[in-house]
Formats: sequence, C-alpha cells, structure tokens
Amino acid sequence: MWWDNWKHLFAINQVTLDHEFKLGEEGNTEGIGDAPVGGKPVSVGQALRPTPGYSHHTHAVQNHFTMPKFISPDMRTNRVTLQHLFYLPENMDIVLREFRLGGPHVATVLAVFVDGLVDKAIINSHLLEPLMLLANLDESQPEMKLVDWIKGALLPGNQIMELDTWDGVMQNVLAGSTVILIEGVDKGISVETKGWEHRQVSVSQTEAVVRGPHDAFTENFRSNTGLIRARLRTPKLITKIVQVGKLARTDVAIMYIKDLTNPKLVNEVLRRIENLDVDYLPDTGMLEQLIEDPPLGVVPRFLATERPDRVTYGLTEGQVAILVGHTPYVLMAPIMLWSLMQAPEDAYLRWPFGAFIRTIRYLAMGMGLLLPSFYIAVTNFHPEMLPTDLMLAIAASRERVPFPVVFEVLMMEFSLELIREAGIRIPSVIGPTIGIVGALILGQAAVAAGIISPLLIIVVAVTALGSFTIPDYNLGFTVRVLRFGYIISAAFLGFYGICLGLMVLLAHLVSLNSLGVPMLAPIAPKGRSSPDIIWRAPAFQMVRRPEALGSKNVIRLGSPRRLGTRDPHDKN
Amino acid sequence: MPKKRMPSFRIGRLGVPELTSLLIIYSVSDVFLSYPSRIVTEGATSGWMIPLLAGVIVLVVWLVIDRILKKTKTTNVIESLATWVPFPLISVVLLILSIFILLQTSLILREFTEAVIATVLPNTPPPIVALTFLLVVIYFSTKGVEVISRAALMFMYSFIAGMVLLLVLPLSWFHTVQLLPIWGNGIKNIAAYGMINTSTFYQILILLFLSPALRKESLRTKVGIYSIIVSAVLVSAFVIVLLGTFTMPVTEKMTYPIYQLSRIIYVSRFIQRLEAIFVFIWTSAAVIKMGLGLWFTAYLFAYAQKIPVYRPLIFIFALILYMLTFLPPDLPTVLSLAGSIYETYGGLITILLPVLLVLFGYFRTPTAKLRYQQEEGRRG
Repeated sequence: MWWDNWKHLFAINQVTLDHEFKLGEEGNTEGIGDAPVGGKPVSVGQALRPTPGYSHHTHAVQNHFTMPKFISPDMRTNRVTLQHLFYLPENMDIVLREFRLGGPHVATVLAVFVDGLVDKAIINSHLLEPLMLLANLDESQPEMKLVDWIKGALLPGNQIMELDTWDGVMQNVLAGSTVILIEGVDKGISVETKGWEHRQVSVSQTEAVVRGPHDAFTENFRSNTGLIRARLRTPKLITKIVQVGKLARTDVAIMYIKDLTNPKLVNEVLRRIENLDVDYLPDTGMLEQLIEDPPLGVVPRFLATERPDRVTYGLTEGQVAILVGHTPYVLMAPIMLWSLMQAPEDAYLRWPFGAFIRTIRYLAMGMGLLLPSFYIAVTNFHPEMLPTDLMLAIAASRERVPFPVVFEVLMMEFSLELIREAGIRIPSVIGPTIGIVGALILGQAAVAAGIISPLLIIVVAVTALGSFTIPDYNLGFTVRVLRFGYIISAAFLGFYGICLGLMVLLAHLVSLNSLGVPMLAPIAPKGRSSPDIIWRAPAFQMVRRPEALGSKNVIRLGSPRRLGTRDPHDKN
Repeated sequence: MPKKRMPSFRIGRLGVPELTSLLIIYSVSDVFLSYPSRIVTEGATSGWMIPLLAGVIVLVVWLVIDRILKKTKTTNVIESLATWVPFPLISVVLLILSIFILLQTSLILREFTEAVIATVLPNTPPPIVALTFLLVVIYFSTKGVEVISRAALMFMYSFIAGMVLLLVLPLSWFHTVQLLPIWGNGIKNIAAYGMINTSTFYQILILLFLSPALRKESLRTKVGIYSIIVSAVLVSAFVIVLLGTFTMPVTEKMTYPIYQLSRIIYVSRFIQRLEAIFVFIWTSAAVIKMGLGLWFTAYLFAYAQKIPVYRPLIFIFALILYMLTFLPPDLPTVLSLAGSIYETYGGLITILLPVLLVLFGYFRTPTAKLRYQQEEGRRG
C-alpha cells in the first residue's frame, strides 16, 4: 500500500519523542548514526532511514536544537547541524557523502551538495578522486596543516573558499558549490561545482535585429555577467553582488563602470535593492516594480533588455545594469523615454537609415496610441476635416453597421487584444490556428455580418501594426492600455477630449524620473547630449554622453574635426 | 503665540528654455481668443504695431528693473521686501496679485469654454467643457511650476510649428493693400494703446517671483528679453495676417479671429478645414496658461497668509475659479470685462506694481543706503 513507505516516519517520531536531547550542546551527539562510507552516494533521506544502529531526530530534535554559528571540529556534531540546517531527511535532494581521506592524514571527510545544482563529473574527478585516491601519492606533506594541504595540493577546483560559519556553508551549498567538512577541522572548504541545467545562449526572442549580434541572455546568472564582461574588456567594469530575499535568497548583480558612472547613482541603486524586504525575488520584472519611484504609473522607468550588446552600450553611457539570478532580462537605469523607442539596430545602420526607421517608429507609436480615437473624433465630431468624397465613402461603408462608432471600435480592439493574448498563451503546435481564427473574425466575416465597417478593419490593423513596432515590450503595453483611455475621451469630447488626455499624459511624462533622472531629458529639461534622441545623427557626431545621466566623463568620442584631420603617423 | 516665519516653498529648478517657453505661451495664448479683434478695433490697420510697441515698452521696463535688481543684489523680491517692510503690507500686495490672477484666469476659462462650444463642441453643455478642462488644469497645478514649465517646453515645438502653419497656409488669401493706411488711426493712437496693452505682457510680474528658481541670476535677463520679444512678434504677426486676410472691418467684428483664419485654409482637397487640428494647440496652450495661473494664485496666497503648503489650496481655488467662471451672464459681458477693465487697467498690476516694488527696494535696501552714504561722504 502507498502508506507503507511512510510508516517509518511515524516510528522515527515515536523514537525521538522518547529520546529528547538538545543538540548544539557540546558533545551531545548521542544517537547520531554514521552515513555509509564509500560506495554509491546517497541522499540523506535515504541514508537516515531507520535501520538498526541508526537513530534519527526530526521534529523533536528541531524543536530543541540551537543552531551553532561556527563549524565544529567534531564530525558528529557537524552532521547533526547539517541535518537541521537542511531539514534532513525531509529534504531529499541534499546529499551528504562521507568518505575517508587517503594519504598520510587519516580523517573522515563529509561532502555536502545539492543534487541537481552541481556538476557530478566535477565532483567525481576534481573532488572525490583527488581526496580519496590521489592523496595516497603525495607523501611529502604530512607536517602541513591538513586544510592547507587539501586546498593546496588535492583540490584542483578553480574557486575554493574556506568557511568558518554555517551560514556560509548554507549559502555555498544552495548556490551549487560542494562543501567539504573534515574530521578534526573547524573549517569547511567550499569548492565551486555549479552545474545545473540551463538554456544555452541563443537568439534574442523579443529584440531581434537584422544587423548586429544575435545572442541573448539566458537564465544563468553567471553566463549573463560573463556575456557582458566578454564584450566590455576593462577592469573598470565592476560587478557588485547582493542577495535579496528572506525566505530564499536571490543573487542580484549591479554592474557599472568605475570612474564613469555617477557614484551617487550606484549608491542609490544599491540602497534601494539592499533595503528590499521581500521573501523571494523571482524576476527583474518584480524588482523593477519594487524599486521604481514613484511606484504608480503606466510608463516603465527601467529598460528591460535581453541583449548583451545593449547592456554594454548602456554601461558605456553611464547607466547601471541590474541582473537578477535566473532571469534572462537585464534592467538598465536610469533611462529616458527615448531609449525605450530605440532599437540597437538604429546605431548599427548608417545614420540616414537609422533616423528613418526611428521616425517610422515614432509615427507608428502615434498611430498605435491615437488612430482609433482619431477615427472616432473625425467620424463623430469633426467630419468637415475629411474631403467630401472620403467622408461619403466612410458614411457608405457604415451604412449597414447597426452600432455607434465607439462600440464598433471597442469591440474590434477587444477582439484584437483577445487574439494577441491567446497568441501568447496558446501552445505553439496550434499557434497557426489563432491566425486563421483571427483573420476570419476580424476580417471578412465581421464585415459580411454587417457588424463593423471595412474601413475600421484598416484602422484597427494599422493600429495593431503600430503598437507592434514599439521596440520595448513594456512601453507597448503602455500604449495598448492608454489607447482605450483615448478612445473613451474621443467618444465623449472629440479632439478636445483627446487633447486634454494628451496634456495629462504630457504632465505625467515630464514629472517622471528614472532614478532621479527626468524621463524626458534632454528635451525637457533641456540638457546637452549627442543628436540621438528622436532622430539619429552620424556616428562621428555622437561626441557627448547624455548630460542628464551625470557621468563623470561626458565626452566619449574625439571631435569630428580632430578625427578627420588627424595624421595617422602623428603619434602625439 | 510664536511668530510665523515666511514660508519657503521648494518650486524646483527652472531652465532658461523652460521658463522662456512658459512665459511666451502664457502671454501669447490670448491671441487664440478675442484679443486680436480688440487690437484691430483699437489700432485699425496699424493694429499690428500695438503689440510691438507694447513689447518695446515692457522690454525697456524689464531692463531697468533687472538692472536695479542686480544693483541691489535681489534675487527673491518678496524675501527682500520682508526684511524692511512690515509683513501685513507685503501680505496685502500678495493678496492683490493672487486675486488679480484668479479673476483673470476665470475670465479666460469662461472665454475658452465659450470658444470650444462655439467652434468644436456645439452640443456639449458648458459646465462639462469647463469641468473637464478644469480637472486637467488642477492636475497641472498640483504637479508644480517645474512640471508646467517642462510641459511648456515640450509643447513649444508643436506650438511654434502650429503658429507657423497658421501664419503661412492662409497666405493665398493675403492682400498687402489691406494693411493700408499704414498708420491706421494715427501715431498718438498707436502710442496710447501700445502703453495700455503692456498689460498683456506678464513676463515682468512672473519673473519677479520665478527667477529665483533659475540657476544663475544673469539668466533672468535673457529669459525676460527672449520671451518679451517673441511674444510681441508673434502677436503682431497674427494681427498682420488677420488684417491682410480678412480686412480691418471684418476682423474687428470676429469673436475668434484665429479660428476663422484656420477655417479658410485650403491648400488642396486633403489640406483643408484644419480648425479641428488647431484645437489641439489652443487647448494645450490654455491648459498651460491656466495651470500656471491657478498655481500662482495658490502660491501667492500661501505666501501672503504664511501657510506652509500651497498644494491643498489649489483645489479650493479651483472651486472658486469654477464658480467665478460662470458668474458673468454671457460672453459679451466677459469680453467687455476683459477689454475694458483687464486690458485697460491690468498694466497697473503687471507693470506698475513690479516697478514700484523694485524701486521701493532700491531706495530702501542697505546697499542703496550705503551707496548714498558713500556718495555723501565723497561730497564732503
């Protein structure tokens, strides 16, 4: 029966209730059994099953256990501490592997690691093999301290750290390292053995370009920092790592360039992150919402990107990059609104093409935001604006439609949002279906049924295309949400309503800051910057970094004249 | 009871382009309402000279005031006055200014509401138009002058583009001969109305209170000069185009001449009847103007009453503003009040009062006294 497997747990509890003692008191390790030495590594859950000669302590032990701060030289005490630290044997993926050290020192060694987080090949070849077998070959070091000998001669791991405290042991084990505890030594040795499964660096999914690098961040924290550092080969690139979360800690890295990024900015970012009081931080999206200021509003105050080249360039501008463990998106701050409308490709293309596509993008955003509301305003309130022929054509197309324009528009926009949301959630196998269904609903069928006018299909389609053109996913959402507000205001007050809505948006935008930097800088407030805001000038004119970022060095390029006239043989 | 200290409000930092844009929009936005037709009534075919002459007068006054402020090393006029004038006197002056701006804002709100109803929303009840507008104005005011000035700068680009289009596109109807006789009702008439119309230039009054928010004292001069010149030239250009397009007798009878100007635009089948587009420019300019007006009212009132915060007052003044807006029974009464009282006697507040305050300060500040004593000593 299924409960047969659990019977022993009741037995354990019974034993411990009868046999209470306080762990953490020196020498009180009575009843602690030994895990199997050698042979196949087993999880503690398996190792501590109630077999003759083993006593186990679960609930009762945890109730009375006082967690020591420092590692003990006594292996039995350490084992008990580990048992409580990782809630063993309840926790079945924590592995304790006990073995005997080879060579002149005779000692018992306990390796602790998390199954699934480590690379087993590294543990076997770089940890167990040297300690158990190769130690016998080295006979020259018996007089050295045991820990120094192991660290210096036996462990070929690239990152090794001595640990004194149990907190350090816990953090290292949970981060994918293997910690070794040695009989008679009050220190642990952490060996870097991270090796969990993760997605390989692949093509950018949401910020694809034709010209430019195609790689994107992954869910691997260290790979992400590495992708940035591989591009930005300077020792001035600083990576500060802090941990956030009370229940489970998540690594958060803050990257910036020393002597370039405004130190006040770095301190402010660190202050906000370190002051976070959360149980768990799953993603940059959550971090962004927790540290942005002011917290309300629909406009993103951080740039979330999955492109290492974009992060690298931002860092050279004086921005700060924030990486969160296991998240393929990196936050850049401070930003200006214009950066949310820029794609990396703009800079890689020749400037007329970059300026052209940027202009198209701004027009598209305008259409994505306002086209349906303009349609309502013109048809309902200001038909005189249209040439007579066009007005008659619109009137004729709407003749059969039984609904008011605003209802028609809202219905279509709602259908479009449905298709968009379904397109994301639907399994990829049946993905093409959504296109067919959408085309049928929004297209011929709706017109044939006489519930919408053909012109509105064009309006809604162009609006959708316009909003898809926005390079930043969050800003795209902003436009999608605000569009409905403008539709309503146009339905009630025509152009006047749209205008009032735009003024509210303008006041909101000019009052927004991204980590203290005005979002509409360098236009309002006016500041000095390279011509790279709405249009893009030639690359050789991008002399200045944006003044608003407060970078320590404002100039990033020699002046065009100097570049053009410099004699290549003149070393001065 | 402990004596209350003068409040010190943090109004943020204002840049030169931001403040210049704000002052230009504040002064020029009247041109979208009935102001141009009144100028044409006053100056006939030479009406376009009136804003230019008024601008020159205001510019000279500003340069004098600025020089005095520099000599007395005054950055904040109110705080400077508070050192040697009893506070009740300052309080009265500030209250007068606050009430003046509130009444003027209410007149413009009413005129604007009537304009929106007459032009683009004929079937919408006036309170709806005024209320929705006022809500946006309140939002602007609560954001503070820093945000209003930045919004003014952002809007300035489309404002200038719209102005240029509005001046250029109707040129197919323009006839130079309609500007003749060049001196209109005579030079004396131009001079008299030029003097009176200085009341429509608010730059000096606003700069006296907002210039401390500029980064440098020297920038104050620049802001004043640029904003006065641009405002005078823009208003004058509109009057020229109106006269050349509609003739003097027609223009002076129009309630909203700029709206009529936008109605006659016909460049091709697809560029015609653009008045709805220009609603954007009118409304945006009016929001900025009235946002600043409401903010200023609350700000000055808080200063006058030593109230440590001014933002809560904005809602109270907005309510008063709404009530005052519908106090005049009809549009002709509003136009009459605007023309015969505000534009005729407004100069006493917008020009004369700042001049008196600054001159008063000049002769009473320790620096002036010291200089006087030094000169006396030199004379022996």
